[in-house]
Parts: sequence; C-alpha cells; structure tokens
Amino acid sequence: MKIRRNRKKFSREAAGQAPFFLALGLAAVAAFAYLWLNQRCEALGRRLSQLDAQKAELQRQIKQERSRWESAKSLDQVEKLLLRHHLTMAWPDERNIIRIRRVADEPSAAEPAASRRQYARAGGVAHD
Amino acid sequence: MTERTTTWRMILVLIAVLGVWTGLCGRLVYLHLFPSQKLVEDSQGGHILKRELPVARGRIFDTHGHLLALDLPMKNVIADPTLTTNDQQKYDVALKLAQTLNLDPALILPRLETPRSRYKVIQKFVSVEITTNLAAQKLPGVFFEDASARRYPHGTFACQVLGFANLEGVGSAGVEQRFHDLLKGRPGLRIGEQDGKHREIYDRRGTEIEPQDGADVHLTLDMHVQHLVERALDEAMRVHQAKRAWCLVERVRTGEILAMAARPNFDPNDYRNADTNAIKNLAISHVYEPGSTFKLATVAAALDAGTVTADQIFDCESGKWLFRGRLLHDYHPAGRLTVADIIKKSSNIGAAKIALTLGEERLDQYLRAFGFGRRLGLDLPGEEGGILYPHRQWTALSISRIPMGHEVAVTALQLLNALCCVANDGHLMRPYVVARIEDAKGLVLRRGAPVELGQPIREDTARLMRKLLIRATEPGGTSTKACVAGYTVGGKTGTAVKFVNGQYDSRYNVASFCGFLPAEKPEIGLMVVVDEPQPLHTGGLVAAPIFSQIASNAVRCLQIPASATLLAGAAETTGGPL
Repeated sequence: MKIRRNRKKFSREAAGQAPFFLALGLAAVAAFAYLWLNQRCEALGRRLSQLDAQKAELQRQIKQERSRWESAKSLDQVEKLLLRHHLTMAWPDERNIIRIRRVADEPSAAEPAASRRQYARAGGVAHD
Repeated sequence: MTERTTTWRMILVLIAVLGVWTGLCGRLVYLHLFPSQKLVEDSQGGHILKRELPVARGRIFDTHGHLLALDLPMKNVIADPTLTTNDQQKYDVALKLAQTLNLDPALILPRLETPRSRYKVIQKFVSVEITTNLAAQKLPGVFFEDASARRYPHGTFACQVLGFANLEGVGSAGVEQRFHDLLKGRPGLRIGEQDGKHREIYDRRGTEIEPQDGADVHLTLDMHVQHLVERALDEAMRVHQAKRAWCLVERVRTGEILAMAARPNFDPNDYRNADTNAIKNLAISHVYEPGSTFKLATVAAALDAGTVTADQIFDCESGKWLFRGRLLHDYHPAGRLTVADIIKKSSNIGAAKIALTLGEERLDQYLRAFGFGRRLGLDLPGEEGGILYPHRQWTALSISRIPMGHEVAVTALQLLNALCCVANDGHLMRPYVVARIEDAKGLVLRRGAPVELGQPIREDTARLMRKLLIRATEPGGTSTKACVAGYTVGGKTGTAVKFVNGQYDSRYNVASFCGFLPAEKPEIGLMVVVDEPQPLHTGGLVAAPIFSQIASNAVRCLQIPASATLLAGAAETTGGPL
C-alpha cells in the first residue's frame, strides 16, 4: 500500500525548523567572519610590526648616512683632501666681487626693536 | 560479585567524581567571582606588554644648518651565560665575539663564566652593522639591546660650546647641558599583550603613545668662521708654545656669537678620556686680569663723563710714576701724550691719570655699566661674572691699577662685549649662541633675539672711541699687526703679567687683542687671548697677528664688503689662504 505523504504537515514542520537553520547558518557565518577577521588582524599586526622595523631601520640608515656625510664634508676633511691633491684655494679679489642687495635683506617690522634700530643706524640696509 | 555491590561501587565512584568536579567548579567560580589581587597581578603580569618606545635626542646645527650633533641608533651586546653549556662552547662564543667586536677574548671569557648571572654586558654602543654580523653567527646566549649613542660628526669642532651628553643621555656640558630638557625629548609608550614566548600579540595592542623626539637647537655659530678660529688657535698653540688660547667672534649689532673656541680641546665622542681643563669653555669661564685691553673702558668712561677730551694732554712721566708710594711703569715710555695717544701707545700712567679725573665712584659705575663684575646672561652654562670689587673696597692704589686692567678680573666675553658696545654706538647687547630651538614638528620653542642690556656711553662718545681705537692699529700704534688688507680695523692690545706664586712674574703673560671691523661701520668684533706665549709675549706681537689671520678670512666668509676708501688704494685685498 502506498503511503501518502502529508504535504501540509511536512511544510508546516519545515517552516518550524527554518529559524533554527537560519540561526545556525548565521552563527556559522559569524564564526567564519570572526575567524577571517582574526586572521586578518593577525596579518595586519604582523605587517605593522614589519613596517615598524623597516621604518626604524630606514631612520637608522638615514642618521648613519647623515653622520657620515657630515664627517666627510667637515672643513678639516676638505682641507686634508685639498692638501692631498695639491690644491690651493684663494678668495676672489674684492674688486672682482659684485654685491647685489636683495629686498629680503631689508629689516622687517617683525625684527626686534634693538636690532631694527641698529640696522637703521647702519644705513637702513643690511650687508648681503 | 553481586549486582548490588556493583551498583554501590558505581554510585560511590560517581559521587567521588561529582565531588571532585563540584570542588573544581566551586574553586573556578570562587576564583572568577572573588579573585585575590596577587593572583590577578600574577596572571596579567606575564601577558601584559609594557614597552618604552625609544626617543631620539634633538640635534644641534650651526647657523647654516650644518649638523653638529645627533643621536645614532646602536646596540648593546649582552650575554646570558646560563645558555652556554660547556667550556668549549663558552670559549668558542668568546672567540667569535672578540673577533667581531675587536676585543681581547681574555676579557670576554670571564663574563661568560658566571653561571648565576643571566645578563652580562659584553660591549655597549656597537654599530648595527656589526651586530647584524653577530646575529648571523647565531651565538648561543648572545642577544642585543637597542641603545642610542650621541655622535658629533665633526669631532673636536666647537667642543666647548656643544659640550657633550653622557652615556645615560644626560647633557653634561655646553649647549647639551643648558638645553638638556628640550633636547632629551619624551619617550613613547606601548601597552599590549604578549604570548608565552614574549612575542607581541599585535591585535591586542592597546595604548600607543608616540615618542616625542627632542627639539633641534640651531646655534648662531658659523661653521666657517668657527673653523678659521679653531685653525688659528691650533697654530697659535704650536708657534707660541702657549699654555692655553681662546678666541671668540661676536656680531656687533646683535650680540650673536659667531665663533667660540679654546685650546686645549677635547673630542666629545670620547669625553671620558678628556682632560677636565679641556672641557672648560675658557672664553666664558676663565677670568683673568685683562691688562691694557681694559683701557678702552676707562677712556670711554672718562670721555663720556666729559672729564677729559681726546686732545687733552697728560704727562706720562717718561714711563715711571710714583703714585701713593708705588711705582707705575709704562712698557713704552713716553712724555706728554694726548688722550688719543694714550690709547695708541697704551700708556699705563696715562690711563691711571685719566681715571683719576673720573674718580673711583664714577669709574666703578661706568665699568659695571659696561658689564664687568656680573654675568651677561649668555645662554651657556659656566659663565663667570669676573671680579670687580665695589669702589668702597678699593685700595688706595686701585684707581691707578684698575684702569690698566689689573686688580680686576674679566672673561674674554665681557671684554669683547664691552668693545662691541663701543662699536655699536654705545649700545650694550646681550651675547647669545642659540638662534632658535625647534621641536620635531618645526614649531619654534625659543628664539634668540638681540637684547639691549643698556647704553653705558653716548653715541658720540662711542664714535669718538672708535676713532681712537682705529689709531691704535695705524703706524706708531701697538696694534699694527692687527691690520686686515682692505678693511679699517679698530682695536686694543693687552699684555698682562700673571700673578704667580704670590707675585707678578714677568716671565708669565697673557697676551690679548680685541678688535672690530670694518671700523667705519662695524660688523664683527673679535677677541683673541693667548696664555703664557713663548718667546714673544705681547698682545701686539702674539694676539694681533692671530686676529688679523682670522679677521681677513672671516670678512670673506661673512661677505662683509671691504672699506670703500681702502679698496681703491689697496693693491692686494685678498685675505689669507682659505
């Protein structure tokens, strides 16, 4: 004898279980999202740390190079190099120098009073 | 075994298991609800990461932005002797460390043989390149700590002005000491969590306070002028076999110090091996009897008070004058001299007679107005105020000795500042070495600016004094060797006999020269002092040529135009070799 399926009853049961599966699905999605976010945070943290270290290393290198460059171009060092290459430097003759006065050299109103007065006394124009 | 007995046994086991579980659960609930402070601290302490983020000390620059001091990241090499298991391993580690760090293995090995200690410093402040090499060798028990070391790329350059910061990063002399609070910065803080292996759990990072780097100090020092001064002092020490020498250059109109140096000097990178005398900034910390350079203040005071005129004649007693029972000598004996010639010939007797016209009280007032006997307020530590007793404490002879620079002690800075006052139309400026201090974001925290301390003499007196001081460098004067081709120079020599073992001993002298140029429109003032020069010992022969050497190049560095009148007639206006 063929058993007849009670479709009405089945659909009622399925409808009753749907929220449960939905909640289960949502929980699973939330769990996966949590895992993914956790993984992402971990990866970003690692990246952050790497960049921190890289930044510190680059800053160190900049400082190191700056220090070396300053030592290399110190006037003592330049004199030694000139001497080694038998080079002698002399100032240009004063009569061959053309001095150009710039507007920027004029004393400004923001300058301290004492200084301004002295500049004024000196003829109103600072030497360039 | 009956079924009943088995049942009872199972019940007993069940009760026992339940009892244990109930106890554990009870304890768990108790620990969570009523935790003891100690347990909380113990559990959290192991996981909480609290790390101080290192901060870089501020840098120091000259006026053109040349870097004079900076912090370099370094590493300390540390050993944990408990992690090296046997003697052979210890020996190998010591050998490799010694080879890489260029140390004696015999010095390292004892440090590795202290099994109770887990922290032994092998070497501090090692460059990162070397520690990278060491790390690659994976030596057991060797690890590295972050450190920061102060570096002065130019070595001894301007060492007394810069000072130094010690191994703990504390400024201990010069600018480093004076502005330590601004230079040191503020370290950052990171609070987070760490795992069992003390590795940071990045996503649990909580508080993060960024470190605030120290402020940068920009000095008024001009590297090129400073270099000229340092080189000239080195040469002076060699040529004159001097005990000490010091020099400073000041911008007349503002009081900016362009150069300041002294010999002997020291390397701030290696300050632990420096002589304490070398660390002292002689230009501001050493007081001495100035000798004849002091006459400029005496004469300026008398001219300003109107007790003498420039052409007034004084009898200089042919070089010997008995004053209140004591003889006063002139180095260059002369008969009748005008006030102008008293300056030019540097007559002690003339200066004493000029001071007598002024009287003790007024002389005292003028000298104090010039800044003698007190600190000028320079922004460096160790400035001395000199010695100038109140006139009520003067002896009967003081009025004749102080005018020629005896019975009074000054610093080179005070004397130069008084000279610059004359060159600056009588306006006494406060000297300063710090142009500005900027924080890491470029915000100006402090700006050095010209400050007028007073006007001890009138403008017309200052102009007249300038003329008298120019005459001292002209033929017949004591300062002819101070001349600079193309520029008019005003100045005054000084030769002070030193007070040694309770008496003035003419074998020991302090030779000095202070001058300014271009005299018609003064821009810079220089002071050169040489202590115990041999065999020459006068200011005119020892200090004046050094002045000339420095000034002839300094005017070019500072782009000070030559004196127009002299330029036309000068055959050669070039300065000395660079």
